[in-house]
Amino acid sequence: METKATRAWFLVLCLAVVWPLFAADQKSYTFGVVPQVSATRLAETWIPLLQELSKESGVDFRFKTAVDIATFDQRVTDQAYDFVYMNPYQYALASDRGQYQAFAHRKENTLQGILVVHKESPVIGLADLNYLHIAFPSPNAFAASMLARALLKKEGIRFTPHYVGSHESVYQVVADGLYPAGGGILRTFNTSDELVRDELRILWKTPLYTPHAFAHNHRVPGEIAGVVTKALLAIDSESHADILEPLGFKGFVMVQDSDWDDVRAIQAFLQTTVSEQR
Amino acid sequence: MSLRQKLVLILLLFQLFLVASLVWQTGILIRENHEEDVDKGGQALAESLAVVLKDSVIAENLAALKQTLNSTYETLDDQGVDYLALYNENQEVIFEFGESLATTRAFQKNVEVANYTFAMIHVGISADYISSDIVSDQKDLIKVAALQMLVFTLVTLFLSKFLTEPIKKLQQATRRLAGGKLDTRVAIKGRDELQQLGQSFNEMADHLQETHAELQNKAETARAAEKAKSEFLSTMSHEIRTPLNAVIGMSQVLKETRLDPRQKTIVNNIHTSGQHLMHLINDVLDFSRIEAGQVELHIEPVNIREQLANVVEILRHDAVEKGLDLVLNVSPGVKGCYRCDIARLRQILFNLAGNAIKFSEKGVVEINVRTDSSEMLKIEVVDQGPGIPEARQAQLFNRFTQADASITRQYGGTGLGLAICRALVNLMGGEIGLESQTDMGSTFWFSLPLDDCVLPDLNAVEQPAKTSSKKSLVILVAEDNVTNQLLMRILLEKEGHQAEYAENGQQAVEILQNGQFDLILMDMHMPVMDGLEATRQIRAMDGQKNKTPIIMVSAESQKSMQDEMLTAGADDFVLKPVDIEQLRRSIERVVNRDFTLGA
Repeated sequence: METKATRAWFLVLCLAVVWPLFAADQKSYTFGVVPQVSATRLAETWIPLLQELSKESGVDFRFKTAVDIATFDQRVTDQAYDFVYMNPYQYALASDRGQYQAFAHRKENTLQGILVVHKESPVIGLADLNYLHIAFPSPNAFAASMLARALLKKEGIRFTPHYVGSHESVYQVVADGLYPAGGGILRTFNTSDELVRDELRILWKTPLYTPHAFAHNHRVPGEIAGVVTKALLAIDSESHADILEPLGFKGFVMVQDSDWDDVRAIQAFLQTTVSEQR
Repeated sequence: MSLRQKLVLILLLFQLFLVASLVWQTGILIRENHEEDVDKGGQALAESLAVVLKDSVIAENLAALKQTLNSTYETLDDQGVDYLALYNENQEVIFEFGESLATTRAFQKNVEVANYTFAMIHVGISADYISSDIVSDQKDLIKVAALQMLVFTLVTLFLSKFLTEPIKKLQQATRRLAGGKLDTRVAIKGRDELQQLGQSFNEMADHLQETHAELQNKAETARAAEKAKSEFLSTMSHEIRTPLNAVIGMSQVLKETRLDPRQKTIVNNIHTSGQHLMHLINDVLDFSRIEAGQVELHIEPVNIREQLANVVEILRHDAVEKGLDLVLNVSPGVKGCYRCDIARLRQILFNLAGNAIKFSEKGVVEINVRTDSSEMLKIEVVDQGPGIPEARQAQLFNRFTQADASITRQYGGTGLGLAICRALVNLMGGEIGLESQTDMGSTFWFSLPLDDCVLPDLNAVEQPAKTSSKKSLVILVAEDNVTNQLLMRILLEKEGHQAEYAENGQQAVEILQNGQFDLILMDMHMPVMDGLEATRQIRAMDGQKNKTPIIMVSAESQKSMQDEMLTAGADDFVLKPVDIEQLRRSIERVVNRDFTLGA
């Protein structure tokens, strides 16, 4: 009896020593975030969320982003990330390719592109933008760029697009008067620097669309995707205001792939428009 | 080592120590500063890169990262950055430039957001670069230190000279002052202690000079007083002896006239008393001269055997009269010739042997002469007289002391004889003493350190002198004292000479000009013109008369005075009171030489 007990204890002891090694060796999952703002600012706002997510789910994440949306798109296409936060247009494409599966998006299911001008700008209608230079974050930004450009074109407005890298840059250059107008989205506008925001006026809003998707690659095991989804849905503005506020989120909701059908509906139209303007 | 050398050495050693420790400390400080700078620089570079590259790292903009790191590395390569690398969160190298060696100082900084590490910047600074920088700085330091040392050495040399120059001056001045140059003064500029010292030195020298002058004055005064005393003594002896000479001379002449026995006894008494008085005066004068240091020794080569024999011959008369034997024993070791003052030696021997004869009633008086072990000439006078009690012996050589107070009454004497002997022996650098016991006789002895010599051959000249002794001469006597003139007349007439008389030197010169004389007897002290001046004038006259022999007659027994007489031109001198025998010999000596010269 005695020897058996000793052996048992020894086994437990060995496990206790070895377990952390296994734990440390646990696979970590990459989490790619579409670069809407500068990489540093993106990291500063997203890392607390990922850390909270890791804590709740026990899944280790590596924060990833890219220099610009085009690069990010390419990496998504290459399935470089296990988890992705990407714009609806990107998601529709990735989903259609059978690479990623959405599991959540932010609580307000409204993605709305906007056009901003300086608050003292003489521009009062879309027609006033004709023949002007307009700033956009990047060619591939969905609501702030692709959608806006497509709709302007549909309205018959002729303009010259300039890609300034991020939503923040767009707001900044318009506030500084470098460009008469710029494309953004309502969410990033609302979380942008107050000094900049006060200099701006929203000229025009696009229709509402299903927002950015939280998606996982199909290689991610189902149980991992499950715990992550569960953990993400548990984070809301009541319990985690400090994490969500910098991101402009209020919480997260469960989704289905079909939620992005509204985006898919204008996909063809966007593709033609965008390819023409590049 | 001079003061200056010491000063320089101490200052330089001290400075060397200071500079060396400063260089040492600064060297350490330079190294520490360099290392600190490098540490700060390395860390700052790592931190700067972490900030600059943050966006690119987070966005994984590898091209931008590579380019930035590469250009940074190339830019800073020559500033000691020999390693630059970017590691991912798993410590795997993403980019690496240069090589990290064991000697490289490593710095790192994480690129992180909210404690989430994206990557790590590694920076390595070459230790060679650090040390080459330090070596260059240390070389500069040593150059500065060497320059400082050089400047300080120059300053020290200047300063030491500046400081020690006055001291050197003082030292030289002190040496000159000590060497007797009392007018030495120093000139030191400034208002410091050394200047004050120089001033004090000058004041001291002033005092010294004043004191010295004062002392010289006093010494001068003392010498003058001494001279006055000596002259007084000399004058007194002359004044006393002049009438005494007359008394003795007259009584001697009277003794040889026809007298009845009673008269003869009276005249004898007069003569003896006069002579005794003369002895007394002579002894007293002699002794006071010796005591005053006025006696000068007249050292000359002397045939000691002949002189001793002569003394014995003279004393033999007295000895025989008392029924005593007088024996002279000269040991073979005694040389023929010694350098000494024979007159004084004779005086001592006359005294000791005279005493022996005077106090002995019977037996033999021996005079033993020998050289002792230390080459001293020792002369003993041994008698078989009453002896001297031991208690009296010690005082015997003191003045005015005799063995017995009654002796003075019985034998006469001044009590100065032995004191004079002792003074003379001491003057000659010798010793004197006695051994005696009551009823066993006495031995008085004295020993003198005398150099032997070779005797000049005088006999050839002396010998023929005796032949023409009885020639009748025409003599000019210069003598102011009438009594002495009378005495001289009696003496000269007795010898068969003719004499003419002058009252003073002036008259003597005039008389000589108008007459022909074989000889002049010239008194020393005379009014109008003294004997010395008259002698000089005579020697300065034209014609044959300036060769007339001159004998000075004087009471001056001092050798310096006698030398002065000879220098003035005198041929010989005779002491007052004039002794007939002495005068006769002197006349013979002078006249015969003159004849020899004239022939």
